[in-house]
Amino acid sequence: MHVEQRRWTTIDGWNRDPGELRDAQLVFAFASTGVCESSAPFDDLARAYPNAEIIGCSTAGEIFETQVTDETLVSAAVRFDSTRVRATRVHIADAADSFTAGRMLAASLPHEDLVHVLVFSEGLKVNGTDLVQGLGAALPKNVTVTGGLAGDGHRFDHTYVVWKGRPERVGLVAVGLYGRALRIGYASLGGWDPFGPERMITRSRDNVLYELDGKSALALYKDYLGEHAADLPASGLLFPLSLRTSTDNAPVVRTILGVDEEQQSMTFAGDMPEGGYARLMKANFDRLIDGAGGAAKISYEAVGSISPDLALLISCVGRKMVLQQRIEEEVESVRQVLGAGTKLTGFYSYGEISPFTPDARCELHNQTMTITTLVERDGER
Amino acid sequence: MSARHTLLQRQLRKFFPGVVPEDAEAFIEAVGLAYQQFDDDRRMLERSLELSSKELIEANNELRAVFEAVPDLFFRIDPTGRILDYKSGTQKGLHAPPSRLVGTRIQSSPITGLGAKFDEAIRNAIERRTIVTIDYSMPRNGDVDYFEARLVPLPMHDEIVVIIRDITKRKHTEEELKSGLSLLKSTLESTTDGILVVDKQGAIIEYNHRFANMWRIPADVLESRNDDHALAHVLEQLIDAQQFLDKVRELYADPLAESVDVLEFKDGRVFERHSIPQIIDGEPVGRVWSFRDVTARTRAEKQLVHDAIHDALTGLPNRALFMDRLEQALRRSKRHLDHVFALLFVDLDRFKVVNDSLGHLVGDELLMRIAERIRGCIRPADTVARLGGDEFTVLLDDIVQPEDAIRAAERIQTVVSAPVALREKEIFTTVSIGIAISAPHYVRAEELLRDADIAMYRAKAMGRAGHALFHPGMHSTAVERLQLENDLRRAVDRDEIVMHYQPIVRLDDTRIIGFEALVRWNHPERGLMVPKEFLALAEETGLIIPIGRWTLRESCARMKQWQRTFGREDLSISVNLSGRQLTHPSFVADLESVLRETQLPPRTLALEITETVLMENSHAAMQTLARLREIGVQVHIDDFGTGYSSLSYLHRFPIDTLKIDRSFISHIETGDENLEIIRTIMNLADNLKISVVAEGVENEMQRTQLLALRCHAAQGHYFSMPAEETAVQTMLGRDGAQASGLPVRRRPAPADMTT
Repeated sequence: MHVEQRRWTTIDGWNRDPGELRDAQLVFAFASTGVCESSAPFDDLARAYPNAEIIGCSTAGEIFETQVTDETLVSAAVRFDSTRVRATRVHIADAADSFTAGRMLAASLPHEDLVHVLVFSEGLKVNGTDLVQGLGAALPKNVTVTGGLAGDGHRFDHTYVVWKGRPERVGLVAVGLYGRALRIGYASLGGWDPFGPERMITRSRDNVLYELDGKSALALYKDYLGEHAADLPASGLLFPLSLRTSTDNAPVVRTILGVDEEQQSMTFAGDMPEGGYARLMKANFDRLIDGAGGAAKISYEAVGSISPDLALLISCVGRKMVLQQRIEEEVESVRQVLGAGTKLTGFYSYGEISPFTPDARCELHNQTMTITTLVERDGER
Repeated sequence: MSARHTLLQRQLRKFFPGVVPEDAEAFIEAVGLAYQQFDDDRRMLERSLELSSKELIEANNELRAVFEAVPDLFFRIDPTGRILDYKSGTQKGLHAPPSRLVGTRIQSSPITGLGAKFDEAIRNAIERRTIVTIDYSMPRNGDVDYFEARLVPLPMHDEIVVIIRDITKRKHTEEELKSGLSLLKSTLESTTDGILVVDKQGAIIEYNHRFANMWRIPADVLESRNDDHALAHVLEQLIDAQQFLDKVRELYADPLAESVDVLEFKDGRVFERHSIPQIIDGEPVGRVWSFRDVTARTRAEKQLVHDAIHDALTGLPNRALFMDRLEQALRRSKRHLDHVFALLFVDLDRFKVVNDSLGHLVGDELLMRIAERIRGCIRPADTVARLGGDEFTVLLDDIVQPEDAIRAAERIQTVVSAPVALREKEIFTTVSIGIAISAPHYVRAEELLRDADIAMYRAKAMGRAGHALFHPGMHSTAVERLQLENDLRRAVDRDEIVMHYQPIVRLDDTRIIGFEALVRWNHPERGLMVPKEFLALAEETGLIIPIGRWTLRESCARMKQWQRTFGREDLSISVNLSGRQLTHPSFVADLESVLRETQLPPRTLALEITETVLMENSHAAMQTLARLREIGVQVHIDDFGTGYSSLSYLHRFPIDTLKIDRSFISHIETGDENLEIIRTIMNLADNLKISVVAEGVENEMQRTQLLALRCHAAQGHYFSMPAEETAVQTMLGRDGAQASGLPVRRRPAPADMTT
């Protein structure tokens, strides 16, 4: 398979012209919400890759090789040798809930020969946990899913999903990859450490948290953020929650998505079930970087320890907030593991979709770097 | 970025003392930003640390306070049993205060066996990763304290939290409960009542062996606690399962109610059942049922009741039961006007004779046989009862017409009249039956009984071995009779009894040789009554005895007086004697007493007994007559020729005179027959050396005829009517001087009298 990457900025336009991948079947387009609101780059993409499914979403940061930028559009066009591509979309209004949306997405893809599904979802209104469960419910057991929730920088205001080359506010898109030649690797690692006491979620509803141990969760956050409380919800990314329910032994990380002062509630990217235990987490710089590298290693080994052609990086906006200027270090560590020949593309999301490890169930993660590696090898699987 | 980071400023000043190069501006800003960020991060972390620590300390304090409030001993041990630390609301639980034991191994307790117990518990807790609980005790001041230790392995570390609780009080309570329970159990098993305890839903909680045995429920059924199965076992033994279930349901609807009732079994057993609620703290939590086998007692009670209403000898219903049935029949006939019934009053004729002659044992047997026979010829719905003595009553309930009752009476008479074989004898009896039919006017059962009784007497009066149907006319007769009876009772006291005397004369010179004393009753309303009108009554009522006694005494006294007054020691007085008097046990004694009292020479007293009476009471009469002969009193056979004398008896009895019945005298002139009879009697008397007196001479021709037949004495209207005392005195005064208007004869010598 062949991959061609380009980047577009408002000021400078495209960094290069399209090459020989006019017959690409699939184009990833990730852009800031600002850029999503201008049509020019999308027109260009459509012209450049007339036969491709152009899909993607808005971001909290765009990844282009080892660079992380804002207010840009990055595209990665892919021409597969034998792998087939099918894209599908669900209108958010058509689904009574996120679970149904996931199910509808999965059901609308033909299942024969389906190897992997990539999902890009609206980022603020969707319940990521339910979406993932819906996907899992309708897909055959051997089909893997990775993807992410669209972002909106640090604003948390509104997101876009790109369907048929056009950004729209209310959709969820999925791409099915078919064929026995395709090899997929994936991994998701964090780099956050829980600290302090465990607190029981005493009042919540789906992914909206009200109280921990009988006291206001929002008030607790404000205590810990100090002067940074003014920057909520974005500053809430500095303290994700480690969630442990009695059924899971492995805790998951939950990122804040929004705050409601009136309700004294905080919205998270995934479910916060009552009776679960939450602990505050803090970032560990070294482990963040190592986490990215670790994820890269796992996804590298999954495709046979060979340099993949393409690596799709979906990293969490929270990491970007913490690492700030050093954000590119995590991408660099990925490059180091995967090798120079791998094309790196991706975005900073409001939630990542992937199994923890190759054998695990697909979950919604937060605060992680999720990597999906793609390799096409004839006859092998 | 308005102000540069201080560190950056210092560094710039140090390494770039002059001016900062233009193109380094962006770089410097980026560095400054990075410094700022690092500071921020650090501050954030410090803040987090501080807040976290505070929270943890607070949580810890809370926890400690909770520990201290709980009166248990908490401590942590490592896997070897070494005590790491403790929290305590109490000092008790280990062999020393916990503070002294920190660092020592818990197994090193000096209490025997405790160390090993803990050792094993620790191993179990660690291996199985579950909570292990042990009990142990420690002596203290002569008493014993009990403790419970809970070992909780901690999930994260290899440590165990041990919680020790003082359970002495609980243990004591348990002991009390156990001993109380054991006492209860043995009490439960020792009682002879069957006990069953159930909960509010009726499920079996507890029972004793006696219960299982009484109800014959197999052990496996009871143990299965399958209550429906057990219940089915119970129900099928009862006669009225529905009653049982209804009662149970009733009591479950009213949990506080108590009850007692009786259960009857198909096999004849009877249980008394008690039920009381089981109450704890005022609330009903279940129910206790107890069962007592009262079969024997019930049987005995039933027997008593039976005996109270049945005759012991015949087994027939007695008066009480009969009257009850009679009342029911009467009530029924009042409700249903076409319901007719009849009452038969059955009296054995002359039962007294059998009883006296053959003895009471035979008499009883006879009664039993007769009872059976009567019972055998009535319908099952009818009742025959023994009222007492030789009286039976039969209730014919629901007859169609009076003829049915009459036919029943006839049937009874037929079966009774068949000979009864008793003790190698054959006894013949008959019954007199009075029949009373129900009618609207009857108010009380006693009235029917009375009427049947009256009818029975009528049947007897008509000649026995018959039956009579009561009709209202009998009533008045009975009432009259009753009245008369009452009057007669008082007659003697009121001097209403008077004696009239009829002279007995010599046929040739009509000289008076004696008098027959005839009793009269001067009834205040009815006037003067002759014996025919009241003597039968006197006999029946037994009043004949006192009247007879009075008569005898009066007659003797009077004659003695006349003998003295008129100097006629030869005059005799004849007094009539009834069968009753003759057989009365004190008769002879009474007679002797009268003779003594009146000083009348015995040979001047003649007792007149009718031929019939003599024959009927021959056995008893024989003895009495012999005594009379000894005393010197004369015996005359009255109404001779009208009875059925056996000539042998006549010969054997000590008799002095035969008095020929008036019926033969009165027709003496009409036919030869009577004449011949008289002649025969005269011959007979002559042969037996007995004298003869003719009764009822009414005319001269009769006198002449009798003289011709060589009859020497007579009495009758021709000579004189029975006269009062004063008239007699006049007669005697004139006697010997043709006072009677008859030819005077010489006074015969006493020797002449005997030819």
